[in-house]
Amino acid sequence: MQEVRYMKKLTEKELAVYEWQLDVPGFGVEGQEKLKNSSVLISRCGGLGSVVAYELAAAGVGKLILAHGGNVVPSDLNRQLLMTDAGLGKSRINSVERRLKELNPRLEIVAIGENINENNVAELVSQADVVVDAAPLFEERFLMNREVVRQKKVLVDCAMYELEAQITTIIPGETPCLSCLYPEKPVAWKRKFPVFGAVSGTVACLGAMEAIKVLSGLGETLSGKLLTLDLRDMSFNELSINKNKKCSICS
Amino acid sequence: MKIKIKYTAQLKKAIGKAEDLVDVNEGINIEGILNHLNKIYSKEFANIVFNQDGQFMNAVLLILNGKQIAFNSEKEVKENDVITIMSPIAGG
Repeated sequence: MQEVRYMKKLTEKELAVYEWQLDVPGFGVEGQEKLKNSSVLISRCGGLGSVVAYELAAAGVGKLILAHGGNVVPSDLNRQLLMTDAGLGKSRINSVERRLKELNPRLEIVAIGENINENNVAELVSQADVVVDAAPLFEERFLMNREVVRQKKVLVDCAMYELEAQITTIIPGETPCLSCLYPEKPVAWKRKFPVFGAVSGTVACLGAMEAIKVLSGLGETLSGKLLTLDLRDMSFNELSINKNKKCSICS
Repeated sequence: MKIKIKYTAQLKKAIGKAEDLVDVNEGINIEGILNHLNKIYSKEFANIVFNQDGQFMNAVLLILNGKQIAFNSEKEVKENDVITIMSPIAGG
């Protein structure tokens, strides 16, 4: 049976804050109320996830569940825009929570000071309507993929490397899942990767927009499509991707 | 016939360029093209695309004219087709 949810209405303050996006055709008050009554899980709030979180907080998503471990180090500061120089050596997730609350004090935040793992993934996914994955390791991404397929939650998978990035929206039962794309662990991937904050931020904004569209019903999503971008020559390509009939996760 | 091959991410670095124009025989399929590339490129290419036993690594995405294609597809590649070989990425 589908969950019946009490829809909270927009307050006068919210109508004022979101005034300019309420004018977007196909969105309006109805779309804004859907965002207000929605929750998004973001796996890691680094270069990519921090900008996803910031955009979703700005857009008026009601609840963010944020998983990000560790303390701020100098090399975070070229891209992890929710960290600050003054926060060096201190908890990343505390910085994330504080910066988001400065922007949107109405936002409900579930802040987890650890990365996605076997022990927390099921509970965190269960709290979310949509998941955005921005983790830098395939192990974490495969774990998230397995759980969203099990719980039938939409996953926006965003990734980058150097000046390139890619994004797809996974709808369990309808589209290819991450394990359809990568049936085995990629061996060439290394934890440390070349990155400009402007590149991770670009794909983060695309990821945030995908989440907004999934939640509000606005526009068309990247379901079944992989958008690739290379900011070295500003080329964008939308590729058609296939379900793997022998996928060990979703088939 | 000439086929354009494009590369992404670590493959671009391994080969030293973003794209290449290769000369192959008519009637070739995607597997034949990858085996051809394996002969003309350095070991860095093979290290990403093939495992130690010489088997294709399924985590590498293959795109023919904008659509994903399987390594074992029998579809013939035609002149002026564009193949993109994508190295998996997970940066966040």
